[in-house]
Amino acid sequence: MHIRSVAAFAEMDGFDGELYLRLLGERTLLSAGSAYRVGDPLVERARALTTVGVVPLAVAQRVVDDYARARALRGIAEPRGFGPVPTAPQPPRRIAPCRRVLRQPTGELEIRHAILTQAETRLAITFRSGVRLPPNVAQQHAIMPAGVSTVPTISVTDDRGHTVSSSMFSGGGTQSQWRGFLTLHPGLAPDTKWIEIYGERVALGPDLGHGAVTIENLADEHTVDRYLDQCLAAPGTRSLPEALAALTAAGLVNPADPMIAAYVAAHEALRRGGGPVDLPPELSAGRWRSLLARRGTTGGPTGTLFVGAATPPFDRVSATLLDLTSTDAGFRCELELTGPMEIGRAAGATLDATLVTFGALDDAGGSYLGQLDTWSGGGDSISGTIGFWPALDPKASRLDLILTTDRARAVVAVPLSWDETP
Amino acid sequence: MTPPWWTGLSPLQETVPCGGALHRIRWADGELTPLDHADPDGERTLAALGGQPMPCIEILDAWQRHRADLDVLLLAGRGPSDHVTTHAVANGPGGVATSFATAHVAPAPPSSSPAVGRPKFARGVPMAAQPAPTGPRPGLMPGWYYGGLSHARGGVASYASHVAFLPDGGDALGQLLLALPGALPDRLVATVVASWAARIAADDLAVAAARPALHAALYGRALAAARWWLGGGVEVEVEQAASPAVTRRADGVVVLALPFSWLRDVWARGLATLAGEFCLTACPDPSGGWTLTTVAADLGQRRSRALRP
Repeated sequence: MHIRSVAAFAEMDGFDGELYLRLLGERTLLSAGSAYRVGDPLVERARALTTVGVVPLAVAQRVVDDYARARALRGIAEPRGFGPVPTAPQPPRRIAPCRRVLRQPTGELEIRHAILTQAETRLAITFRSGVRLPPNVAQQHAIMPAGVSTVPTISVTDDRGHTVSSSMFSGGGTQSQWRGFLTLHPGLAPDTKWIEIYGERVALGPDLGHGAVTIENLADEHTVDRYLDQCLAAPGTRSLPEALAALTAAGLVNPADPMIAAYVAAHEALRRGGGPVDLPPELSAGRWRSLLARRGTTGGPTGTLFVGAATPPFDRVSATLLDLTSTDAGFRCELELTGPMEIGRAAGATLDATLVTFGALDDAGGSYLGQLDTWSGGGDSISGTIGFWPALDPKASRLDLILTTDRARAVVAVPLSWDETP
Repeated sequence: MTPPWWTGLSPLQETVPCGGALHRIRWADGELTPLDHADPDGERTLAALGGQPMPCIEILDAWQRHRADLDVLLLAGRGPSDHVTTHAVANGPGGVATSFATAHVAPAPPSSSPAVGRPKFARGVPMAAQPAPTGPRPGLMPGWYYGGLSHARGGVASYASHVAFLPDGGDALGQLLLALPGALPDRLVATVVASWAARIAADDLAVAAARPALHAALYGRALAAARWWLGGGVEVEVEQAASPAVTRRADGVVVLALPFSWLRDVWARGLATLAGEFCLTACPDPSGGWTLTTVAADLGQRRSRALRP
């Protein structure tokens, strides 16, 4: 293994990270006829060198900002990301489970949980159509489920007697079922004990606790390996080729190392998609080998359970995990994420946003990779769904959901007791 | 005796809107002078006491603030294919976004007589007429390849609005200096380059911290010049070295080894490439001409060339 530790590197004098980045900035400035569609090499390499500790964040950010200004004067638009941009700390909020089903003429409306802040209230809801549909029609994607022809307006009242009406829905689904949020402006009382909908009182549980969550602070070692893992786990956010170029220039990796070849092979396999892949036997790539070998596996249990765990802040972000739904081909978990996070290319040229990657480990030894499938929100707060693959092992009775950043890891232990079929 | 750094850089005179009129500003012998303001200090005092700031004086003051500013080297053009468009660089509260387009490309070649009153850069090829190199160019035409500038005249009128809405004298004004009319931005770049070349020669303590930015300033400009010289398809590397050299590595990469002072002595004078050759050194001679050391694209022997006025 030829990945050198950063501590060992720090003893060397021979790589000037600022100079390396500035010369790269010059080359990209002279060769860029337009903005980079995916990933600016200067930002990508600066991020890699900063994350592993070779270049101080302030120095790397200054170089990135300098060349962003130089490009702006050349009419080369900076790559624009999507999603939240780090902003001020989030105001306090309460996430209250409720799990209440209300029967309606057109179907069942389930209130899964409520997210309450001073500014707004969001109700996580699932609507199941009462219309009987053939299976092939039931699973067709639809803007509104069968039997619903107009967007409804729903009135919700809190225990202070305040009533807010809204038809602001966000989400999606099929002919048979719709999942998403109803957002209420202004917000109901954040500490309300109940809400009333369609004349029925729905009790709200207490705010979710940190009981099933373990936080591990990751030591300043193996930073290179962790960064390369991030590149595989979040290929839409981290560029492995750019990272390898920067880390090779810094003398931290040797491209001839079989481990590096394994990362490249795994990256290529992940990029291609498709079924299972056996990495060449001479390569060892840890969990990526077993993960890729099981890609496409089916036979997962079908069901939904409420995770109901909120992490304390770790590496400046915090997460709340809500419904976990398993199907034949994989599983997904809904989450709320807050903090100065990096989603897709959202951080743009900001180097100090926190990237969260997702994984899972079951008690039968199986590992899983999660990626943010869908999300909504803005500022530094999003609601999203993490899709995991491969299919959950039906023999597993416990699952650890693992959220990893550059410096910390949150592990949420989930007993697999299914309470609902999706 | 070492000639002053501005030797070979022709004087310039341009006009900018100021106080409801078009005022002249002149660059000569390394200094900028507002010709229509007899008492700049008095006008500064008036402005400090609440009077209307005069754009000419603000330009002059900004020039002085930025004459050793590495941001100028970061933001200004590297060569013919590096087009700088200084527009909408500053929007203060309630500010305006005006277009102040320039094609800021490369310095003019040296001239032994003032340019004022005659067509500027008569020997230069306007950069706007020069296509960017896109591939190997076996038949390089003789003459100057870095020539005059093509500044959008329409931009001058909007200069006043830029100045009026600027945050007070900050970074944005430095960018506005790069949008001054004519070849004035090139003279600012030459000023900054000369300032740092002098600091390097004097072992100034500030050089150590600035070394990456200085190296990058040399790197980008030499790289742009070499690509222009050799055309596309040739990989070029630029190294900082005490004395200039051009070599080809075993892997085919052309390596330019240049001192930072090359920017002052050669590049800023518009001599980086000429007649299909890359210029390594340029020294003025007593007759008003220049003695150049050049190397051809085959990287053969260096040649000494005399350039007569």
